[in-house]
Amino acid sequence: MASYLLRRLLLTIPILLGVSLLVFFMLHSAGGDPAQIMLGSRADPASLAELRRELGLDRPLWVQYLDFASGAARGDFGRSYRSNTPVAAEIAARFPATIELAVAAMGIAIVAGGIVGAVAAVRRHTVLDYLGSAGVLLGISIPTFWLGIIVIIVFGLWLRWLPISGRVDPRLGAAPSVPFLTVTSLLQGNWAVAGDALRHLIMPALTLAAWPAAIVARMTRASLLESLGQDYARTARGKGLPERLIVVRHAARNALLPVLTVVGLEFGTLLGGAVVTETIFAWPGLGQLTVTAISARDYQVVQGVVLLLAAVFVLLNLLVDVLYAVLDPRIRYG
Amino acid sequence: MDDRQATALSMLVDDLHARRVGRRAFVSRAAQLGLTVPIASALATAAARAGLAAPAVALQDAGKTLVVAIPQATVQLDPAIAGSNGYGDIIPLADNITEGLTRLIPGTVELEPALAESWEVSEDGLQYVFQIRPDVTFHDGTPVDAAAVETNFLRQFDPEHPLHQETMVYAGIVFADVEAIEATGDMELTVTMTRPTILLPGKLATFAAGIVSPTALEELGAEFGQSPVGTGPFRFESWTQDVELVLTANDDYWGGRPALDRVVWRTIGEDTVRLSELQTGSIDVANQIDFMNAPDIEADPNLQLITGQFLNVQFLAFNEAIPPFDNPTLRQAVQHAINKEAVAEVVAAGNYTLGAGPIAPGLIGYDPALAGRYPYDPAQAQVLIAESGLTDVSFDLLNRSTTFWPLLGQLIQADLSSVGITVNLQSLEDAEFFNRLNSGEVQAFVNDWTWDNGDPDNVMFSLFVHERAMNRMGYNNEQVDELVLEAQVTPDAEAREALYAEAQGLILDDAIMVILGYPERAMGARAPVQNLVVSPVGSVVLREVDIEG
Amino acid sequence: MGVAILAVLAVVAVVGPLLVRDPAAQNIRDRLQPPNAVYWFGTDDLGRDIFARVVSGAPISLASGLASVAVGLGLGTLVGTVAGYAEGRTGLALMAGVDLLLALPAILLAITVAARLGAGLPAAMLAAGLVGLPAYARLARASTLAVKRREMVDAARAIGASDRQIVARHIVPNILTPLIVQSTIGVGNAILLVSALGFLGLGAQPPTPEWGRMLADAQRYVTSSPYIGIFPGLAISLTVLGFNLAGDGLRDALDPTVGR
Repeated sequence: MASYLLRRLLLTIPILLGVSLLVFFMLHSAGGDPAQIMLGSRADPASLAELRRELGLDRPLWVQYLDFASGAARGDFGRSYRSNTPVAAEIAARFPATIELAVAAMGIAIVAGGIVGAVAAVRRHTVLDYLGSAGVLLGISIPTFWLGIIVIIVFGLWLRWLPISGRVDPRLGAAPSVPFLTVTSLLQGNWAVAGDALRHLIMPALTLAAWPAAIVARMTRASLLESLGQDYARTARGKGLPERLIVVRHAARNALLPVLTVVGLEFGTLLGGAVVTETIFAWPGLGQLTVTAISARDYQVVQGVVLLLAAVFVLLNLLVDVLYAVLDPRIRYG
Repeated sequence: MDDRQATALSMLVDDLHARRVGRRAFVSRAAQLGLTVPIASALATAAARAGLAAPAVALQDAGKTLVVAIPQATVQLDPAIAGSNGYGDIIPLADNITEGLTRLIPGTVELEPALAESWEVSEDGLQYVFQIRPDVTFHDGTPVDAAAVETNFLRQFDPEHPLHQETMVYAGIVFADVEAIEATGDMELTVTMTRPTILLPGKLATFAAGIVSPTALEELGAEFGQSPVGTGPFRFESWTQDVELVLTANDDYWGGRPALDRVVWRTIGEDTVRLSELQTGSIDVANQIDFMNAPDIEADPNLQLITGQFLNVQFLAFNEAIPPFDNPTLRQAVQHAINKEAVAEVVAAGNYTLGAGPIAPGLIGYDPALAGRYPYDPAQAQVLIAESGLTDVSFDLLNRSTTFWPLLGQLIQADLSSVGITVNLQSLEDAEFFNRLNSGEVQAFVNDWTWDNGDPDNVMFSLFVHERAMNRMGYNNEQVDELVLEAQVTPDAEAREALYAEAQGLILDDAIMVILGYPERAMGARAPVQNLVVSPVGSVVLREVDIEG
Repeated sequence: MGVAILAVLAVVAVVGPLLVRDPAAQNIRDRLQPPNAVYWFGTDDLGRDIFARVVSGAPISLASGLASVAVGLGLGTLVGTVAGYAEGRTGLALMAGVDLLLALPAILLAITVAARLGAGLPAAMLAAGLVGLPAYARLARASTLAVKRREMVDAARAIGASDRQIVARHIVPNILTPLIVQSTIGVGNAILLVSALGFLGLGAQPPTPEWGRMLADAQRYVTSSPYIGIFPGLAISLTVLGFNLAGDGLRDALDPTVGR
């Protein structure tokens, strides 16, 4: 296992190299031109050429790539074209907010999805099962944008239970730039800020959780049903074990594998930032940064974000695979 | 370690103090700057021992705070560069953090002195002498003098200046026809022109000509845009890029301390959300309200709708260098085929002046009579198409894929389809849109122009003089060039008006673009907010704004 | 039930567009009308008949959803099964490739594809398919890993079946269940993704009555005229529902181990 882990970790290097190549050349073949976007409507050819030279975009592609790759290897991702700040600082300002939201949403999704899925499987073809299915269908068929707006209008505007957007009320005087605002303020015992930050977290987290919760519920139900139909479950049933024990002891464990895959995938996606949710709730996460950087062809920022995400995905996958082995002794990595 | 690294390190230490980075992150980032890990670690310990345990999420006395939501993101705050990222940068800066030598009286296009107390033009019109306002200091305490202004202008004007950057997009516009800029006294700045144009004082009111502290420019270098230092009524306090920007009142403002203690700019991109936040009272001002939602605000006793003319013109432009619009009769036919009333309805719920000439209402040269040049008349359009000798006309129309642009494109598509012209609509993201536009191979496109200052020259020169018009529209009319350049050196308003009338007449004869119209702009605010007006150039000026009670 | 919904949708998609008004015809005077006797679903901001647009959009949206899933499911299953069956170096390398794809933002993928193929529905469908691919690949691999250790695979190998035969006869049929579940969900997701790309100018070009695009265009009228978005939204939800229910039915039919 240890050597397997080591090999997998070493594998990260070629993966990141591959990602850096892929993202670099995709960006450069995506059309558009950072210089042109920065100069916009008021561009004239001479200043365009000069700006391209200043940004180093007039150099051969491979030189630009080597420049980027060698910098990245030293942990220097360059500066954003748009803001002139180091890319690492831009990402550092956003990633904690994304993690906070992703963890909250995934937590909700696992708990809600797991319960709904398990109940539906065990109480198959009952009202509970159908109610669960209806909920799942709602979760996957409502576009995030609409869900977010509905939540805002109902809970924010009509009922006025929750704040609508942002991370914390600006009138409280707390800086939204503090990483992990909710946790930090809790740790510091600043209840006013912590409470306000938590209240700001609820609506975006719920909106974001709808899709993964539905997926988790669906997968839990399907794989639990499947493992309940497997030989060992039948054997156990034949031995007269109570159904509850069969579910808990045997089926659940086997059913976890596909669920885990799905959770890993969805969590990875959430960590990549949730563009729509972030935009609606004005949440300062990575998704918005990525999309604006792509639209502005802010190459350095896009490259930095994608490399970070690739590393996160690799580690997350590794974690999922390790969990596989822990849960299913039949899977061994050698 | 070079200067840049030293600056980065000192910022990193600040970050550590403010707990924006943790100890481990500090050490690893310091290591990237070339410090060995033990040194970085020792530094972190020293910083911690200095007793700088300020809580990260301290509550401050917020005082009289105004929260303003704008749809665009704020990215960097150097006024000279602000134009390259758009209004998210411009709005918090212009006349709030920074001011120019001149400025516009809020809600108008009338010029008044700002950091220049007065100015004089030489007899031949070639020399402007500005007297800098005495006893003004920048937010960092640096005194404002002619040398400071000179540095500000030269870094934009002179490509060889050490502080020059190519992203100073507006330098070419603001300092057009300038020959030299020189501090001719402690408080006297002389600008020499190559031609006696009358536009300079107006152009110096542009956000891009905002004056910033030369000390801060030197010290911060490329990082200046992250913590700007100006002379305006509000000073920069803190921000999260793209998200939230906090300004505080400048107690020493030369025009008197503003009524507000604190201004928070928030970026809220979604129109519905911005409106909902306003309705619940968690923000005080929502900039750019869609007129679709204006009735909601008007019906709410806690809110007020603030509307006003905005210097913006929307148009459908042709490229006369390539078929099919190399045919002038076809261009004229299209003019008759577009129903501008429908555009007004769809884009701004009727809060829209129908298109006449390129110059927008409120400016010298705007002439509503020009709207009658091509009345909406599909039958006439068909007659002209027949005259043009073209059959089965079809072309690619480019529009931007955001906000109302696709709707505008579809309106034009349907109008032209009903007179037998096929439009292949292409909605493109901005990057690709401008890329294609600048290639000069686009047959037709829909776009707009927002004035940077209060002078009609801004659109007439930028869009129609051949060196600028050739590329995108293949437009080259020497007479128009002459008239526009003549208007630049004509001080007499009536004479200028006549020149612009003639130039606009020629442009309409050429039918190089369909002038669709000029939208108004609306802001929503809570009822207690006072003295807030719509700015014709798209800024939101807060120096006189107050909250009642 | 699911099959019935899909059948109705298919009929609407084939016959419907012939029976309704011109989905592109604008009537500015009648814009923003709530549902009424003339316009069953109301009219949009350009005065177009929303009913006509929803019906005419059926073939377009169904095709874009199905085509994207076909791309993702096909390629993903291939890669995932091979990676799971081969394990070792090949497996790791293949999954590393999938991880590469996963790290790329969907929008970048779409912008690049559009830059190569030209902005339009085909580019958006391909991009949406590629975005879905990693999910199928990872699921296929995980299931393959579990299935290949069952007794029947050992038995097949013992009687001399080739790898290809084992994969085709024993592995693929047994891993289809989770894949079908995933792909039925994927159709709806793909429709939404294609629409989101359309919103960025990378998908269906206006005035094509594509559902997702209609939904996106309705954003501006969420509070003032919500019906503009409700009907295309319902159409998407109905389609997702149909595919999900049909997927359930299909699973029951395919997998003999699940009791009725």
